[in-house]
Amino acid sequence: MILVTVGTHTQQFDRLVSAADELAVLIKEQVIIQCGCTKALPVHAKFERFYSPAEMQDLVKQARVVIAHAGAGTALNSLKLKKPLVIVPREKRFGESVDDHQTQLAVGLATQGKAILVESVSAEGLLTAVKKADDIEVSSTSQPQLIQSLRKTLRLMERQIN
Amino acid sequence: MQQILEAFDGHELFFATYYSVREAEVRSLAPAYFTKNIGYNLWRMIKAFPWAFQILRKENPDLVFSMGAEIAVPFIYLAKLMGKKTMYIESWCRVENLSLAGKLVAPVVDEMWVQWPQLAEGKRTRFEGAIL
Repeated sequence: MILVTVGTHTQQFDRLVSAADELAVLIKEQVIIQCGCTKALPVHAKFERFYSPAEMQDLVKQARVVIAHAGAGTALNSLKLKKPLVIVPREKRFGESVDDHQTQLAVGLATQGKAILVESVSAEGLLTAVKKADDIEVSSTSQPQLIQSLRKTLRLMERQIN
Repeated sequence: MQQILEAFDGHELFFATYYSVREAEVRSLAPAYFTKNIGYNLWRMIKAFPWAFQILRKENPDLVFSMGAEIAVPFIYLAKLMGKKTMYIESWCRVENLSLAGKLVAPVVDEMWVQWPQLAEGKRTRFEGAIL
């Protein structure tokens, strides 16, 4: 199953949703779309605007590949669950985001080899990216260093306050 | 933020954040205050200051922690004026440059981390890994 998600952001992402809907026609594999605040709803693929956090976790776990907007939360979830991630940044010029910061994350992850950046947002473009995603190795991570640093700083602050 | 929460285990928390489809989820974690997404709306940003001030006076936290976005600005500035400790972690999705919120709080916040090495800038912003 391929899961396509545009996150909970309040702007539309019709570009990805319609390409994903076309993808559902192109391939036999099931495509499920979380379409958020999109204007045009899918007609071929199974979809919901939003799933509960538990439902999303389940869907990500069941998915073979996740195609996602380049939102921090969404991308993180997929990577933490070690799912191959295909990433499509929302762009300001299409009214999908307030700025183009998603492109930074998409390029950053692609450069690190952690996700496949989609070149052309179309059914074929998504399919190409999905095939490349099969080759990604999502490595495991131990407790992130940042959390340790945060805990340490909190302890220091506690001592200063008390 | 969800990924970071475990660092605060054992501490009493409350949230101040934006209304969203995840409101119930937030409330299940800790007491929460909500407001409309500030975005680039200057009027909402201005109104956020008295709102934040009321909350900080009522709750009197020892520490104000934020990962942005715009809501960080009133809370961190007011917290500093009220003698509270402040921390900010730039969102993992900021790779090449700081968010506007990050730039605004950097001069006053006590501790600030970024999650990509290219963003770290001497003493003011530290890179000590990311949440993934």
